[in-house]
Amino acid sequence: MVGWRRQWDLVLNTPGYWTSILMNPLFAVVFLAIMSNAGRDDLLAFAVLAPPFMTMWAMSLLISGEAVVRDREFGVLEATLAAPTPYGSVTLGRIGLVTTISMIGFVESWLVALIFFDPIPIVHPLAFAAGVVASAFAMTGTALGMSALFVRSTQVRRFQNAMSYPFYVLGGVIVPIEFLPEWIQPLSKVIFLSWSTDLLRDSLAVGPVEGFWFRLAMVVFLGAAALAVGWWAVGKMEDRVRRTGEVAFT
Amino acid sequence: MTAITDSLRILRHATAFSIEELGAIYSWHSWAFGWVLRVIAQIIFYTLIGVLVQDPELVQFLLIGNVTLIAAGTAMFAVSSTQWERYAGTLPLLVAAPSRMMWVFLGRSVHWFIDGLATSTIGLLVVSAIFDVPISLGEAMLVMPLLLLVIVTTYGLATFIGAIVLRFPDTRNLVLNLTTGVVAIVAGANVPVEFFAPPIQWFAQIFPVTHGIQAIRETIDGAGWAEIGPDVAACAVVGLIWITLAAVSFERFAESGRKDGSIEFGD
Repeated sequence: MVGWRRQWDLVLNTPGYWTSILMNPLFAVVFLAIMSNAGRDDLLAFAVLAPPFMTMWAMSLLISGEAVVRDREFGVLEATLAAPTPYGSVTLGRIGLVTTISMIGFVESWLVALIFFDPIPIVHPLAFAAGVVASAFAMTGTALGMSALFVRSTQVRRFQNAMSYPFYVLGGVIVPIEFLPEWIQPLSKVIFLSWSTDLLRDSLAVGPVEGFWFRLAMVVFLGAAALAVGWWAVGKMEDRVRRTGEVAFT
Repeated sequence: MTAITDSLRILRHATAFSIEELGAIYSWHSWAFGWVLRVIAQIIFYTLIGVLVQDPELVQFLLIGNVTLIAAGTAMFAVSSTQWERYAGTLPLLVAAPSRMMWVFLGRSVHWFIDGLATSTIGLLVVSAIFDVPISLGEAMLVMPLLLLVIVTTYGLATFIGAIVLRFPDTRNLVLNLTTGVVAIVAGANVPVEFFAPPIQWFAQIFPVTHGIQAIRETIDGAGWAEIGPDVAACAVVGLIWITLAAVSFERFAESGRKDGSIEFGD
């Protein structure tokens, strides 16, 4: 809860956190315009789904790195690590809040489609809602895993910069991974985004959502796996810095 | 004469500083394996939409558009790097100095020229090879000067925005991203400019990259100078207007700072 409150204050006072939320409608216009101009209204659902995933990914990535950078800059990283509460739980709270806020991207994207293009019906609302919740959970877990990477690096912003579009491509954010070369598809399968985006696209399509439970389980499983790795790595890092006293530049 | 010599000397020093700064931002491996890979992924991301739509012409259209956006987007980083002077604590010293501030700011971010030209050219060659878009090395060589033109002219726009944002430094990345996002919509990179209503088409003309993309598409299509020339000229003129506005804005900023002492030492 402390993590949530601290992060809420930071989100309100840091324009950087609003960037992705404000960019979301612009991305939606770009993708919807491409599909519309190509005369492929059947792909408008693909276009409307991509920006919220980009927003969620970008914001979670930002917080997982920024939490570390800011804590390091303000000199509170050492104090937080020295406190009895696990650093992982504080970070998890902060990431959870930001991921939750990023969900507004779905609303923005749908509104852009409704106002400027065509309304996108949610054909399978329960499957869609379950997919969104599972994706938010998986994103939170993945972001914690990343923060374990970031906390050991002084090159956080460079990592963050490099980790957007490669994952949007591999995660099939707008173009399903079937369109990628076969040799790269196994890599995509271990990225939760590829399961999430596929599931949500099917929840907007007419016809049954095939293999719904298995695909939903895969999203949750990959998120849980990343969460477990992140929790373990942050714990290990905490133990190490408590022993050695090295933190600010490790 | 001395004033011109002095201004050029300042511009030269600012440029030298800028190029040194590029080395501080990236090591060669963080540039090649971090930034360049990310840029290539960005171009692939948009170009793949053409594959999804199953339209080879759209593949080429999105490839050219997004390569050019990379060039323009890199120049737009000058919005942020202009603010670094404030964070370094040197802004009040520049305001206090007797020379014109604009020469420092027009020179201090030119490292993005090198970065933008290199990444967009590599992106063009690599992604066109991946998607079998027939762009020869010769065509790429013809496109390079146009990419540089887009970068230089967009740099004018970016330094103008940078001069405005100097008053609100915390908003630098927000403004940078929103401008880049608007450009990605209206400049003809992802859909033709004509896709939008006439007022938006007119609005698009204020961005140098709108004219630059058109010139690059015509070059790739093998058009003659009679067709390409007007777009090149429009790109250059729009860029020149932005550079002039940037220079005026920096001077106004410095004047107001000297008058009321409102420029503090760093954040």
